Amino acid sequence: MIFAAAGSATVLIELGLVLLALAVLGRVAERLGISPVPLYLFVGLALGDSGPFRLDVSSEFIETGATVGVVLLLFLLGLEYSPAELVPTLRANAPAGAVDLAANLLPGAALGLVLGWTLVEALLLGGVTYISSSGIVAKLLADLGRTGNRETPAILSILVIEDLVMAVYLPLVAGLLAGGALLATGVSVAVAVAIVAVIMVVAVRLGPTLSRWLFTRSAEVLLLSVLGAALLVAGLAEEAQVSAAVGAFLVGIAVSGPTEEQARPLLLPLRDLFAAAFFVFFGLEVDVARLPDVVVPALVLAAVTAGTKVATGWWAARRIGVGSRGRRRAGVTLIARGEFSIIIAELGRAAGVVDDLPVLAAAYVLILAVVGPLATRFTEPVRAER
Amino acid sequence: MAEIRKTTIPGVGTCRDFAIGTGRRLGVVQRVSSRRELVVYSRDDPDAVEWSVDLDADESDLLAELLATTSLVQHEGTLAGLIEGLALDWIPIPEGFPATTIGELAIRKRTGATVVATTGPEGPVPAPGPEHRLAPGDTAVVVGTPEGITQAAALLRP
Repeated sequence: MIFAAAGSATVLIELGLVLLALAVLGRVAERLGISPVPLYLFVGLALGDSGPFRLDVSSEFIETGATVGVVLLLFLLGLEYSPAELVPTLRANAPAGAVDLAANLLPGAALGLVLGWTLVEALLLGGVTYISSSGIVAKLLADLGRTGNRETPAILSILVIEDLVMAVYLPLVAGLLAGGALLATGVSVAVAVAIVAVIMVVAVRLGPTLSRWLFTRSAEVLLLSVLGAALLVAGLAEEAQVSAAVGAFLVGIAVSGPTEEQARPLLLPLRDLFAAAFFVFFGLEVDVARLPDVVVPALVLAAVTAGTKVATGWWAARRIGVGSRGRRRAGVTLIARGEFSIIIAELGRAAGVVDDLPVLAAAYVLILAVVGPLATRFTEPVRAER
Repeated sequence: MAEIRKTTIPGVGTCRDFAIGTGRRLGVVQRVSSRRELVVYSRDDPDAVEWSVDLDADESDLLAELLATTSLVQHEGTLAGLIEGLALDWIPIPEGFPATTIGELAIRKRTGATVVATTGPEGPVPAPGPEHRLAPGDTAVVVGTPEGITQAAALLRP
């Protein structure tokens, strides 16, 4: 009994200290105008097995939190979208989406091949460099009052398409990671992509019915129903090798109307808590000792893919007739990489890919999650108060 | 009327904006929820919002009401509440009333009440002048003391 009590006391003390450390860093991030994501990663790195501090809390405990964190991140991202607006956005901006994919996935994949990794590992690194952080970008646009800017639809369309590409990319990579004979892999990838397509159609068709079914006036019951549905579908998707993240994202898209409006404020604080757990967990699992070795490749990759993102945004904004200053803003805003890159790297880490991949991804995100927001703030002189 | 440009902002809502006389653009971002954002674009970079205000549903309605010049919104309660003893009434002009100008009726001189607006088949007229003609089918919006308004209503009968 005494030992059990001591154990739970340790858990509480350690969790409390970690959360307070995150809070302090969150404050610093707020001051500097950057995303807290790299700082959370940093805490994880410092607490890891090879880091300066050690945690007694079992890593399974944090891992469970991290898993829920990914589901909530993706579910709330899906909530932002309604099926009705996805199709026209996709149709109007497909060329920008294609340019984005080619310009930003290829440099990462190329570096992976140069480092002598397998094709799947290279494809994972390509995913890490491809996807901008919709969380960081959305926050920047809101903070800087740029929602009404003419280049903003170009930026957001690219983010929407990236998120949808993930719905196909994640199950595809999960299938490839599961490996096996070429034919078996091909079949499992095809099955996974087919399942995504089916869920997508079901989400579009049955979205309103599902939303009505989940709706209730009681905030408590609504929280439980929506969270339960998200976790259940995410789990089933994981079971079918589609990846939990994609399942959660698709349920998020399906939920709309009053259910969405009332569920969002209830889930946001939960997401922030569990997403922090996810970033810390990823940092914990990264082999910090390898960090110095990957600094140079990470810097090169960051420089190249910051350039390709600027070019992508510039081109996408020009397509919709935005002037040169707006094109530059669009490009620079897209530089930030964050939560999704980590989700992709974690998928690889959990499947046991080459050790350097998660370390390189962590270093890469640490760089661009800081540089992206800072560059975005300083592309324009601070708006004059009039 | 200036041409309104409509843009869809994925995941946010729609933005509608137009150029005002000074060359600046002015717009409203309508979010999927009932929140609105009033945006003013920069003069030297027409793609960039220079200044914006977030409004909730009530604030947006209030602003719309304050800005509206072509429709009248009845709000006696508010107006009378502001100044004690002040009344406002809508007086329909009945059939058979001979069309007469406000000046000829000398409503202000005879009752102390003022016709602040009229509505009718030709649309609303805010602050009509003495040459404005009142005819059956119109409604006069009259402000004054309750007694003054009663007297004005009597003048507006055939």
